[in-house]
Amino acid sequence: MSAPLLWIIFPILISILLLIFRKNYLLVCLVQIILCSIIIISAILARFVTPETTSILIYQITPSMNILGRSLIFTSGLKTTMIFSFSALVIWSLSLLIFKIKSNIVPFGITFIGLLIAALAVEPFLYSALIIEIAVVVSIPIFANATNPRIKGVSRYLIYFTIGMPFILLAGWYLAGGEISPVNDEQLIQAALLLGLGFIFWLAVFPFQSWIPLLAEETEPIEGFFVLTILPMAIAMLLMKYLNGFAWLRGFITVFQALRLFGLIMIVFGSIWFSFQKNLRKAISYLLLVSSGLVVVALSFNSSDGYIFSSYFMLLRLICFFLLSMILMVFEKTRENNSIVSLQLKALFKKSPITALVFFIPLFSLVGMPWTVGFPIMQSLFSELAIFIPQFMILLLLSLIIISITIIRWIFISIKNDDDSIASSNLGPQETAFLLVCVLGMIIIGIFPNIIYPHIGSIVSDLQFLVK
Amino acid sequence: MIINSVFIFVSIFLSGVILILTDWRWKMAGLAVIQLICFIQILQIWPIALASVKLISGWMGIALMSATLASSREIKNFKSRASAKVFKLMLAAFSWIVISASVEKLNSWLPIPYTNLFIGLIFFFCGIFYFSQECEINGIGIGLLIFLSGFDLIYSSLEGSALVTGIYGLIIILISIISSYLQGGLSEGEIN
Repeated sequence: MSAPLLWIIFPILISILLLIFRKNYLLVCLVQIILCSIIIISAILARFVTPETTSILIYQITPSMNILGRSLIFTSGLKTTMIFSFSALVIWSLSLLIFKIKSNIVPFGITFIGLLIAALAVEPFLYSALIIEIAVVVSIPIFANATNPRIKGVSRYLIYFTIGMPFILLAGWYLAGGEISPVNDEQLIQAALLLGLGFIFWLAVFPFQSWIPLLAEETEPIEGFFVLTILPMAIAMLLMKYLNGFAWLRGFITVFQALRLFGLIMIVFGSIWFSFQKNLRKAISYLLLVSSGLVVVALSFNSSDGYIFSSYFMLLRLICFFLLSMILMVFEKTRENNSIVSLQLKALFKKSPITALVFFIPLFSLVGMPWTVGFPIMQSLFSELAIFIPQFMILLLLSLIIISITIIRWIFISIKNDDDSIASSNLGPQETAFLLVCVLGMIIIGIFPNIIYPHIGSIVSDLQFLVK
Repeated sequence: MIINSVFIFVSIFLSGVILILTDWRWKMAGLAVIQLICFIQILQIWPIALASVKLISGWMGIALMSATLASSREIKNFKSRASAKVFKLMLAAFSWIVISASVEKLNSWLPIPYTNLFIGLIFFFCGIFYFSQECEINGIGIGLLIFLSGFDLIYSSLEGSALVTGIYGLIIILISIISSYLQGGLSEGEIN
């Protein structure tokens, strides 16, 4: 059996089948969790070459499959990405089950992740842009439906990704041409411009970032942040594949300078907007923009460490935004009004300390506070920045200070006493236990980062020209 | 040569007209003609079997969106004012001027037939102008299909892959399905 058949096509087919049984939501959610767990375990036990250690559990699997003259090829790095993505889906589905929330993540989540993995597995990878576009269209039913009249964010999401796709495809055509015959400077600039335009739309670089806060505001947090967290991860991976695949793009220094500038713009503007936001959904969406900027800045170093840091950031984003989206869901559970503003955090610490912890620890992790999961990554990022571009470090520091001050302001609000507080919701024992496990997990990873980070670093291990 | 010029003029006319139409039926008819023009242009480079995939997927998408709009209880056909129509036409005219001025240079970068590049760019910009002025999802869907038709004409002239054609057709149909879904055409209430 081939890996793409087992880990891409089979899950997508099952998720389509699950659509038929969607009315029995609990069963479908359970099937989704079990299916994803089976995929994860099968991927952990699989070897693409003849296994060195003989065990009845470890088995060999063909890494590639041909479709219409093109191939879907799995590498060990992509296998880790796949394990990572499906683990995220398991956690998201589990939280839906525990908090008894109906969501279209079940079963569209499997198709969405399957398509993103397919986009990263396809060879030649110039076709990835088309598969990403399909994933984007498939992701829309996850957070939007006809009953929700607010579709401004969804429309922009669809439009920006559709505009980005032609640029990436054309850039791919240019770059593929460069593989056959030598390219001149003019062609190189054109290809880099097209690629830059495409990724600007896809990564929501200023001024094309408006769909992120709109989408976060209009959709349910658990659904909206699922797509907003996973999709940029796949796009960053795709960008790395482009850089790894084309020597003349890698050698073009302007590409990395542009990446650095884009990343810094995202961080600076994101942090300023974050500090001015009262609506928590929108504020957290700006944090998402900041974290995307950090990934782009890490990529711009064009060093092994930079690429490995970007993979670490993906883990950080996933953990933090999962917890933040879940806690927003808890806040909004008892409210008719979906727009929770920061002032409504009053008495949060007094009435629900666990909820407060789950809310503030991810926020502090994202700015890299010591003893949090974000600290080792942020510290390494600063040391790299100090080597490459010390002047940019000041701007980055300022942005993180702005974010930290806003978070501290929120802490002061949540310490105050008030009866009209969102903290008045009563969490069930299962929900409290789940939140406790999440927060403890986060603290443990923060104290012992070596438990998980080295494994995540292997996501980029296949990019042999980038990670040496 | 004359036929190519005729196609260019028809495309220019169509890109202007589709921007100012208000009735969804005429918009869909315009979109169907755009797909047909793109098909005829691609037919000059590709075998008929592969080129027809594009026409069929495009028309399937139009049929899907039309079916939803026809069954919608509430269709908003905004009556736009004459000044708005003039503005839209001026916008389209601006894009025609920019395209006419830059197509020669672009053709040196993209080695494809001149007519395909010209028509492709006209629909590409027409699509952008179209969806940028719409707030209803069906209008955005129509705009995206025009935009994608324009790009498809350019990209198909560069690369003739069966996989790309298949995936592109799937994208067109998926966008139409999503437009219909968000328009309410696929909601359970309608089905029951």
